[in-house]
Order: sequence, then structure tokens, then C-alpha cells
Amino acid sequence: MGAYALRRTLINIPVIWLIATLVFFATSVLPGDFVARRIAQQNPAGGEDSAAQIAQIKKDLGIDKPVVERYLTYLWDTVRGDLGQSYRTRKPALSEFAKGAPYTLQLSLMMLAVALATSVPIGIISALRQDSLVDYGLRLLAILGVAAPNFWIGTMLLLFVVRFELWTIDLFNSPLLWENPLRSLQLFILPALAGGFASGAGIMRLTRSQMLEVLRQDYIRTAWAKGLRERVVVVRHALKNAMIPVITAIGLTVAGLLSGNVVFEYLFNIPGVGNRILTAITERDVPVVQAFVLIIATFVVFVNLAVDLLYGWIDPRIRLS
Amino acid sequence: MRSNYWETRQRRLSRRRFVGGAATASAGLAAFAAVGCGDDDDDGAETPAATATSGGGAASPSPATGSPTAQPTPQGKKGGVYRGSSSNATYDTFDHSRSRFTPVATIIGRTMQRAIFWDSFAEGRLAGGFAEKWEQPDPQTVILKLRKNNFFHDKPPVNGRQTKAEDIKYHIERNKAGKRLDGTDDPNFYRKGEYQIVDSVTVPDAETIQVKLAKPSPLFLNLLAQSYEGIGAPEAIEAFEKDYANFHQKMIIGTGPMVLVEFASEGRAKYQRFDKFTGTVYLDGIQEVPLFTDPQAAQAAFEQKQIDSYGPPNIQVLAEMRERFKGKVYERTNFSANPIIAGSYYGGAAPWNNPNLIGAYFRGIDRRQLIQQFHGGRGVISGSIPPSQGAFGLTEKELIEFPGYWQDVEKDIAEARKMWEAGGGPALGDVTIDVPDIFEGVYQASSILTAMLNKNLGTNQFKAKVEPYSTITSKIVEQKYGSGNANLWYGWDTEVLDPEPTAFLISNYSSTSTLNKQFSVKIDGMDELLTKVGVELDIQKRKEMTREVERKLLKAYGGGRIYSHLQITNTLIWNYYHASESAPFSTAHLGAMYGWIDPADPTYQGRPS
Repeated sequence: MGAYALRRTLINIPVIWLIATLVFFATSVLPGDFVARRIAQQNPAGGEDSAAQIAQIKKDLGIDKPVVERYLTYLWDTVRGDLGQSYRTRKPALSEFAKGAPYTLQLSLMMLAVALATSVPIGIISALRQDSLVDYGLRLLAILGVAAPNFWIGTMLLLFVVRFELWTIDLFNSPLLWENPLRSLQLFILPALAGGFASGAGIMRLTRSQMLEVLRQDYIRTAWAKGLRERVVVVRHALKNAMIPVITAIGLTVAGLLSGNVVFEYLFNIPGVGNRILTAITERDVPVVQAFVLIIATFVVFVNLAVDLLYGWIDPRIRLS
Repeated sequence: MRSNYWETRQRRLSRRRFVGGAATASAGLAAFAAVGCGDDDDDGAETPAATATSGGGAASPSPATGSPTAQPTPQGKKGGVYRGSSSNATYDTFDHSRSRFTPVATIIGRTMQRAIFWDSFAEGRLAGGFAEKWEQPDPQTVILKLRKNNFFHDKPPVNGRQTKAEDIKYHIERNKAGKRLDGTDDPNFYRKGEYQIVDSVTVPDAETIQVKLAKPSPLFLNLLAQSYEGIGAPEAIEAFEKDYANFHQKMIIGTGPMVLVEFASEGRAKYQRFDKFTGTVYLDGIQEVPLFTDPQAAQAAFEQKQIDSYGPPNIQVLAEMRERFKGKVYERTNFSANPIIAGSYYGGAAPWNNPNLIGAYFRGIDRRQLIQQFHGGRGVISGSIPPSQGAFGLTEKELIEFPGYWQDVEKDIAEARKMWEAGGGPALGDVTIDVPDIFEGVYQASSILTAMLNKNLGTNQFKAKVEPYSTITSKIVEQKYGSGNANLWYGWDTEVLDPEPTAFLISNYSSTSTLNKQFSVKIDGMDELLTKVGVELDIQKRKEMTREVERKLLKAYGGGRIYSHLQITNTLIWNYYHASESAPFSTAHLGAMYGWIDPADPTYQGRPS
């Protein structure tokens, strides 16, 4: 297992380098660079001084050098753990990520909790009660979750709470759980429900189909024949075997959630990673875009590795070596 | 016949009403021509004893001999924290002399005093700030008198010291030199050109600053009152000049009504009232969060009274909210700071030196239609002097007599089509309209513009190209809109910073100005007129002259710059918050001083702490 993990980690290094390179060159060719936006937004009609002003700002930001030189500097800095400095805030891009990460992490964990708490049990119940009214009802709910755009659900929840004055959603301060638990929950619960419902719907459908397949296996029939209790048959024998594809799906969901809930952070004014990267893209704040994408990509790569390792733990038949 | 947009708009909204008191603005805009006396130093809820301006005011034909420093008389209550969202949380530098970003102007307005400031844009009234009084004894001399007992915020390295006359001297000289402390030239001292009017600054005694101007000018006081002209302490600039781009609250040290105590450059800021501020201030503080990324979130925050004001971007939402919160909120309407222009062009060579061709474009732009399509009707047509500087521009009644602004749009367009044919327009081939990428992102303007121009001029030659502003700026400077190129651009123009357009008109349309080289449209008598207006101290005469300039420009189809219109914004404000005057210029200083919260108002109930 250790050797496998090491080998996979080493393979991931060129993957990450490739991502870093792609991100660097992609952001270098984005139309409308940061400085141009700076100058032009305030003085669109320009003037003869504009070129000199642009040159001065580029020099101050260190982006007056050729692209190859900047790429090599970027790679070397990245290896040293220096992901650059935001053009916009002049703070290290890494610290910008660190500022947004707690919000995204809290939101993602809450979404995941909602997704898992609803999807897996519902998937199991739906499979166990196949073709019953309960099954139809739950499947309808799952299809709704998959089909309805999550931003629409989020907006509806926001409007519902505000219009009926149910509680104050602290959109002004966006408190974290450890800063003000009640206010934090009042804000985060809405995107957690909307996002968790949408993410969970897919997992629920997958859980149901996997459970149905496993429940038809001979060894399950044997377990029933042995007179084992339903809980033992379902949880110990069926669920564990049905969970392998589900865990893959959960892993991808986790990666997706943590890589920035752009839509919900945007809708609920949460200053997380997603919201920040959106602003960075709009403002052409290249170092922040590069750093965020690199961190997120690295994270996704290692989540996938973790999922692969988890297979072996769940199912000893899978030999990672 | 198209619907008469202008008539319907007029009923609801006079084009000039926004600058409020356009008719009376003369009194104040001639501040420098009036005689007055001291400012208030009230710091309480009591109304300051406003001192009305005396003397001839605007009508005074002679050089000014005194300083009007009257303040309005708001009956505010002390206390409370105003909460809002920053309109645009992007900052270029905390060195305000090298900034031209509105969010920086907002910080400066709240935390620093200018030597003198616009106390009311509507009434065009200047008042004493860092300098308590001023006079212009002759056209080339301005004397400023330092305010007594005025202190800086208590932050190192200034540590709350009392102000000195040398602080103003340092500010003027630094802007004039346009150099960093290490002696290097920095082109980002954006007002350097305007400060070249200064010949010398001396401090004859501890309370007096004497500015000698290189030539007679009535506009130097306007310059001192502009948004970025806050007076800082030289030692702060020396301490922070290298780090100003790192945006820290410690760098903002002024003498203004609010102290910046917390700042994060994504737009989160906290201010506290400066207890030693010499003027009126009611609020305990101001809190600002970054611009809400989603309008729904901003609306929700407003409805729950987490923010005290909100401008719905959608006109249907505005109407619905007006109805739903009737009697609980009030509305402010304002011009946007950036006029929208149908482009600038080089008129020194073909094709746009042909009046028929440029006239066809000028008249083929249906400004009223664009206001409808871009802003749902929330806008007003603009001549060469935008309505935000209305006191100096033509009345709407006169404007609609000019080609391109006729009420009978179909007739205007028919004339445009004839001119296009007569000028050989069909032989030009493709005519590209460059649309700035950020403008396109907001309005999807390229398809609207090309469809309109092709239809109105009976052609299919007009194509649009989305370009970054930097490309457009370079093209303007390199005279590529014209001079052998049949292309133009359409988008936001430079922000209007001064209620008076005189300096802008001179720098853009005087053939001796370097900026004019990018337009080079020859207009008979324009240079003489601009020379006269640039030295005229009588505000009324100056207004007549600027109107004459506008007439000449409109007859010359913009004279290099074709104005389209100005957007209007509507802001809803809860009744408990008594906002200060709104204007299309930076009004942060007025908000910090005169805005106040009334906890006794019924709408205050339910406002979260």
C-alpha cells in the first residue's frame, strides 16, 4: 500500500506541473489584462499619458518581462511554495486562499453532511422498498434534485426566508461557525440545503441502483436463508459491497465541493474560495487565479488518490499492488 | 413616428433637475468669486450657525476677495453606524495623489480634508476644509488661511499632531512635481498636468499659504476641491510611499470626520468618528462590506436592514420594491459618473474630416433608443457637456434643437441617411465599432449598436469588435479612429470629477492642448473662446462661454467626441437613515459629515445590531 501510494504521488507530480503550465499560459493570453482594466476603467477615453501610466504600473507589478521569463520565475517560485502576490490586494495569493478556505470548508462540510445524511439512507430505503409508493416518491425527489438548477433552489430559499421574515440571514458579516454559531448557521444552512440536496440526489440514485444490484446477488440470498436479521444483511453484507462506486461518487463530490462552491458563495455573499476566484477572474488578477487553480487541482488529484486507497480498505479483494 | 421619449421623460424627470438648483448654482460655483466668512466648528447635534455668503456672489465680476464657507444646517442626531456595500472594491494605491480609483476617493473623502471642498454640489457651494478661508486677491494669486486647532488622526508617524501651513504647500508641490521621494518621475501623479498652473507656493506666516499661478485662472480652487486632493502629512507620505500599494489602514492619516480603523482590500472597511474633527459629524462610524456579488443577496441584505441603502439594477425590481416599501423607504436619483459616448475620432484626415460622414454617424445614433435598450429608460441624452455639469451646459430645450437630438427621430435619421450617401459612406467598406469588453459584458452592446446603425443608415457596413479598453485607449492616442481608418468606438467615457467643465473643455478642445492632438477637429473661433473662458473669473460669464463652446461642438458633430447619454441610477434608502446630498461626483465627505441615523423612526425597528 505504501509503495502504491508513493508511486501514485510521484505520477501526480508531472500532472500538477502540466496543470500549472496550462494555467499559466491560459491566464497569460486572457484578453484584457489587469493593468489595462485598471487604467481603462477609470479613464476610458485615455490620453497621451496612458501608455506611460500602463508601463509604470506593469513595472511596479513586475509584469513587464517576457512571458517565458515570467513562466520560469513562476515555476521556480511555485516549487519554493511562493504562489505569487495578488495584483489587486498586493497580498500573497496563498493568504488570499487561506482567507477564503474556512468559508468554503464550512460550506462544503455542511453540504456534504446534508448530502450524505439524505442520500445514502434514502437510497437504501428506496432500494429495499423497490416499486412501492415510498420508492416512487423518493425517486421523484431525487430527479427533482438532479434536474432543478441549484442556483434556482438557492435563490428561492433566500427569497422565501427574507420575504416571510423567518430569520436574519447575516449577509453583511458572513460569520463562521466558530465566530457566531447561530448567525453562521442561519446563513450557511440555506446554501448547505440547496447544494447538499443537489449533490445528494445523484448519490442517492447511485446508492439505490447499486443496492438493487447487490441485493440480487447469491450471497445476499444466502444471508437471508441463514436467517440473518435485515439490519445485518443490509448493512454488513449489501451496503458494504454496494458502496464502492458510491464512494467514488462521494469522492468526486467532495472534490467538487471543496474546489469552490462558486454559485452558492456568489448567491449568499460568502467570501469563500469560489467567490474570490470569480472576482480574480473578472479582475484579471492572474496570480490569484493561477494559485487557486493550482491548489484546487492538486487537491482534486490527491482526493482521487485517497479514494483509490479507500477501495482497498473497503474491499480487500481490490489489490492495490 | 417613434415614441417621443424625451417628452415622456421630461414629465417625470428634468434633465437638469439632478444637479439640483442648476438655476441657482451660480451662487455657489462662484464660490471663489464671493465674499464670506468663517466655517463652523460644530461637533454636536446642534445646528452650526451657518454663515450665508455675502457680497456679490456669483455675479461678482471682479476677482474674489473672500471666502464663503457656509455649511448647511442639518438637524441630525448623533450616533449610529451607517452600513453599506462598497460600490466597487478595487483600489489602485493608497497614495491618493497617484490614485484615480473611486473607492480610494471614497476613503479620502471620509478620512481627509481637502484644502477646500464642495459643501454642496446642488448649490455649488465650496467651504473651507484644511484651509479655513481663502481669497483670490488677483487673478494669479490664491491665499489660503490654515484652519486653527485642526489635528491629524492619532496614528504613527503623525501621532495626532496639529496641522501646519507647510502640509498644504507640500501637497501642492508634490503634485506639481509628480515625482516619488527617490526623485523618479511617476506618470501616475494624475493631476500633475493640472498643477502646472502653479508657479510657486510660499508660506509667509504660520497660518498662510500663498499660491502664485503661472497665468490667470479661476479654476485652481476647483482643483483643490476635487475628490483626490485630501491633505496628508508629509511624514506619512515619507513613511509609506513605497508601501502604499499594500493597502493598510495605518497609511490613511487625515484630519477628516472618520478614522479608518479596519480595512481589507476586497472592500471591507470600518471607520470610527474622529472626535477632534472640526466640522459637523453625526455618525459614530461607517461599515462597508464588499459589493454584493449577486443582486438578490444585496436586495435581501437591504430588506433585512443589514445595509441602509440599495440601488436595484433592474427597473421592475425597483418598481416592485417601491410599492412594497411605500412609506418606509425614500428614493434618490442620480446621474452615473461616467457619461456614455458614441466614441471619439480623429478629424484631421479622411474619412472623419468629412462633415457629411461624421454627421451621418452623429445623427444615426439614436440616443433615446439606446437609453431604452441599455438601461430600461433610465438615462438622459447628453450634449457635449454632460447633464451632470448641467449648470454649464445647454438647456434641454435648446439641446433638442441640434441635429442628432431632434425629437423627431425619424427626421433626424432620414437626414443622417442622406448625409451618409452624400459623404460617400457606402464606399468606405466595413466600419468597425469597437466596444470595450467590460461594456459589452454589461450591455451586450455590439449587436444592438450595429443593428441600429445599419438600419438607420440603410447599410450593412457596420460591424462590431469587442476590445479591451487598453486597445481602445491606444487607438485613440494613435489617432486610429479616423486618419484613414473607418472605425469608431462606443462605451463609457472618463469619469466626470468636477461640477464645472471648463478645464476639461480646454484640455480636450483647445488646439494648443496636447490632448487635442488625438481629435484635431478645427472649429472656427474655438481657441479664442477657450482662452477667454480659461481666465474669466465671473462665473456667469464663464457659463455663457461654456454653453457657447457646447454649441460650437454640437455644430461640429462633437468636435472629436460624440456624446451619447448618461445613465440614471435609483437608490432606495430606509427612512431611518438621513442621507446627505447625492451627486454624480464623489460625495463620501458629505455622507461622513451630514448623514445621520434616527433611531426614533419607526423603520429603525428590526434593524440588526
